[in-house]
Amino acid sequence: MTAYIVRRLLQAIPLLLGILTLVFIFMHAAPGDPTALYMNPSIAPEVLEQMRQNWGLDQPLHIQYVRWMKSFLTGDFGISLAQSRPVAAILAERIPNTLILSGVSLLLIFTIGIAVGIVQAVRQYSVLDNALTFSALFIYSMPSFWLGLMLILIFAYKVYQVDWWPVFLRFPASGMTSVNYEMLGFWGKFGDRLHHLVLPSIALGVSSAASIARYMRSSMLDVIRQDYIRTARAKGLPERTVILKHALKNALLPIITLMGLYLPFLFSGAVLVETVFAWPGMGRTIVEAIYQRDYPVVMATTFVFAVMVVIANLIADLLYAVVDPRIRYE
Amino acid sequence: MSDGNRPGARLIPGLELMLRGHGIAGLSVLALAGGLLAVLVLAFDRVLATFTEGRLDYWVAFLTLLASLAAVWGLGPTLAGSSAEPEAGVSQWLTAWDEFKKNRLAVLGLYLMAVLTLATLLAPYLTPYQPDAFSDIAATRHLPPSFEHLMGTDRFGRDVFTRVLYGARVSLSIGFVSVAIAISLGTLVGAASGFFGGAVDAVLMRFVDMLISFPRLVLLIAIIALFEPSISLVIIVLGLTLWPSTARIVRSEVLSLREREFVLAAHALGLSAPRIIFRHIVPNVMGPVIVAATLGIGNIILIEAGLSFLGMSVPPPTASWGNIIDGGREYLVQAWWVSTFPGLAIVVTVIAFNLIGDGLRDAFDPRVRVRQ
Repeated sequence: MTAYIVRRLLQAIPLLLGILTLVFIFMHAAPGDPTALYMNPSIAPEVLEQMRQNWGLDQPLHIQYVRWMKSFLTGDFGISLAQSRPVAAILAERIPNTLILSGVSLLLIFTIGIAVGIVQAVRQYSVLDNALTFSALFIYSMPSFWLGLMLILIFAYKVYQVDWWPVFLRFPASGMTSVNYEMLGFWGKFGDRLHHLVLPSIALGVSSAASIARYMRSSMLDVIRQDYIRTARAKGLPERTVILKHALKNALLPIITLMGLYLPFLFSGAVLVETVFAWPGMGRTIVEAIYQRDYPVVMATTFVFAVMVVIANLIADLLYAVVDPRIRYE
Repeated sequence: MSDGNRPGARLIPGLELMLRGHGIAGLSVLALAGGLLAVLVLAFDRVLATFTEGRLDYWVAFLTLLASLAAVWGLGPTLAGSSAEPEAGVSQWLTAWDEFKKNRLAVLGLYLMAVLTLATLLAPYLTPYQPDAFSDIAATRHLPPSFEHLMGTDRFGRDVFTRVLYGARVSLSIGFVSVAIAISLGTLVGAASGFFGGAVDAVLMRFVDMLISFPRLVLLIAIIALFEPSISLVIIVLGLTLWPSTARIVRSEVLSLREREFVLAAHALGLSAPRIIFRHIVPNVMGPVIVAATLGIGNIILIEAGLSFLGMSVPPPTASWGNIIDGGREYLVQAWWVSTFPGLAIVVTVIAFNLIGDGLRDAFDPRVRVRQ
């Protein structure tokens, strides 16, 4: 087991170096160099030349590559062109917000997906099963940013005009906290944050939940047909115990590996959903950076996203090795 | 074949299908025919204008109308007749098609896709407006949906229905072309990787691992940000970044095919590697590849909509579903219809491709066939 973990960690290193190299290539594929941003008649060409020297852009490509690699690996992502402060400082503010949003979404995806999948498998071919399959198809085909807009339209605007609609189901349209956030007590703050998380995490997660439900349904159906389930039923165990204790454990195994697969998908969605809900996370950072032509921020965010995916895959693999003792890793 | 020869049954499209007990199928064909005739009658002046205007998309629409009317009148008998004859050696394509036809949802998807494609081609006949024409903004701005403007008008007073129709052209063509690029590249890389194995495989697959580690949208916007956004750029970048998943599928298929007797025989005959790959292996992986392509189109339409929404795909005066939604975003509360309808168009299109893709997957999968 330890050997497996170590080997898996070692495998991630060349992958990360490769990702880093790709990001470097993207950056240098850009027409012109970063000084182009400052190019205007009031700046003397000598000044631009000086800037190139300061940034090391006059060095041969392989020297630049090594220097750049060294600084990226030590967490020095350079200076943001638009905000004139270290990219690492900007990312340090934004990464936790994206992790909160994706984490809550991931929780939502797996709870709803697994629950719906179990219900569908237990009631296979019933009206409920068919109805859920059909709505899953609909939900699965929705663009997350459009769903976000529709949720805002309904739950952050239309319901404010309905008198009997409960206040706690009227949601804020954007941001992470309310204006009066600082005046609230601990639980008030907690509730306020949760309230702001509801719509974005639904917009981000619901389509993945639909597809998890689909996997869960077929995984559960596979398990239910096995002999040991028949034995459990023959022993006279109540159906509830058979499904939730005996079948669920094995049916969940293939679902765990999906976690690693869904995270990149979730991060892609986060770029759009964060833009729609003005959520100050990495997705919005990269979009804003692109509008401002702030390449250092764009590339650093891209790199951090990829690193997060690699780490998530690693965790999913390790988790799978821990929960499934039938698989031996030598 | 007794009731197939009723002479009257052929006059009304779909009637023959209904007589044979395919009620819903017959009705759908009839509805399609009715819709086409309605276009011909209601837009008769625009159909006539085809001959005077001399614009390319009018001619495309005209030919589409003629071809689809002819097809609808001929469709009933062909659909009902194809599986009637007993065949001795049936190709895998025919078996798959027979399987596919039995899957009602998949056929529904195909029907939806046909209607959508027709609608995009017939666009100049379906709407009296131009997608980027506006006259008196003060009078026509943000009109709610009505019979004149089926989906209302946007902030410049442009007809949203017209823009959704013309946007479909952009979204669907980006979808088809970039999937074609991604699938060809993926098949090529996957086949080479699986067939040669060893170092080639290791290098190619590590590259695939790297590309897959980037969240798709992030990778796409990071690359597109380096250039000026345009339709051709988006098509190329989508095509060049979405191939890895196909490559993985093809590789795993090729790994098992490589050990089979017919490939050994091909080796024994002294055939060259490219010939074995393209003539003997690739035709056998076409099933999964076609499934991946169909599901991929739906996916690419979603991704492209996201890119346009962020303003990183089709530059504005040209309509695409994503940028219409983006345009309505600021006025969501005053004019909900601007953002809502293009989104519904995306949902319907993606559902259609997902249904077809799922149907094809079942149709190509022999295990499903045995179970039925």
